[in-house]
Amino acid sequence: MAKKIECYVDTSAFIAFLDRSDSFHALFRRLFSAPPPLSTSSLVVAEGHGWFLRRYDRNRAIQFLTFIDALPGLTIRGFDASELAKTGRIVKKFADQNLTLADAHGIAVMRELRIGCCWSTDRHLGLDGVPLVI
Amino acid sequence: MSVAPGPRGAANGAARMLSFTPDGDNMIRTQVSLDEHEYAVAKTEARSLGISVAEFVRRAVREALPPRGEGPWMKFAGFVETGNPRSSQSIDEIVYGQKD
Repeated sequence: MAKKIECYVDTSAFIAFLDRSDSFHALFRRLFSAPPPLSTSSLVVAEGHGWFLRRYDRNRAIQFLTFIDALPGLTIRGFDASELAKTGRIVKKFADQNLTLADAHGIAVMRELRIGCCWSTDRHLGLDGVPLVI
Repeated sequence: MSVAPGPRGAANGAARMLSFTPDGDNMIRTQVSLDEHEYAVAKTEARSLGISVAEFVRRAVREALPPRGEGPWMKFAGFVETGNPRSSQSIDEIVYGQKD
């Protein structure tokens, strides 16, 4: 039986871990050193890859994907039409916020899996009441 | 560790481990083949740092490996340095070009 997913990981947590300049780097370095079962969205992986492409280059973006592959116990939720429908409802619920689909999909996944912990530095991920780890 | 220029015709850009032998000083002796250009550049860099080519190669290997006792994914910790302490809080600006 698979272990229960303990925390959801947002793009901001990955970037804080990978960028040594980030003010939350030490925190996420410690958290990722012994990660519990984690969940994230395929949109988060796309967003992280896009961040490295735009901020750096394709080689760094590929290194990001290699890191994702190497991270143990990470479950990546796909994004199909049914996930879009759930995510769209979240975006509409918080229509006064500039929620990205990646943010909203994270909220939808946490809600569905009853995840009570979110690794993120983005306050949007806490809109549904799940506490951020920072 | 001994490092010597590889023979002509060695695979371009590739370092090949030829052999290794355990020794009594807790070090593994190994032979690495480098192409001429790699060896020349490594030698120049080592000289500029005041170290041997072998030490230069050891440092390169250490840099490529995760810290001892940590998982392989930990070698990516801090692998970029943007200079921005709010890097993780300004992702949307980079990816979507918006500021929130």
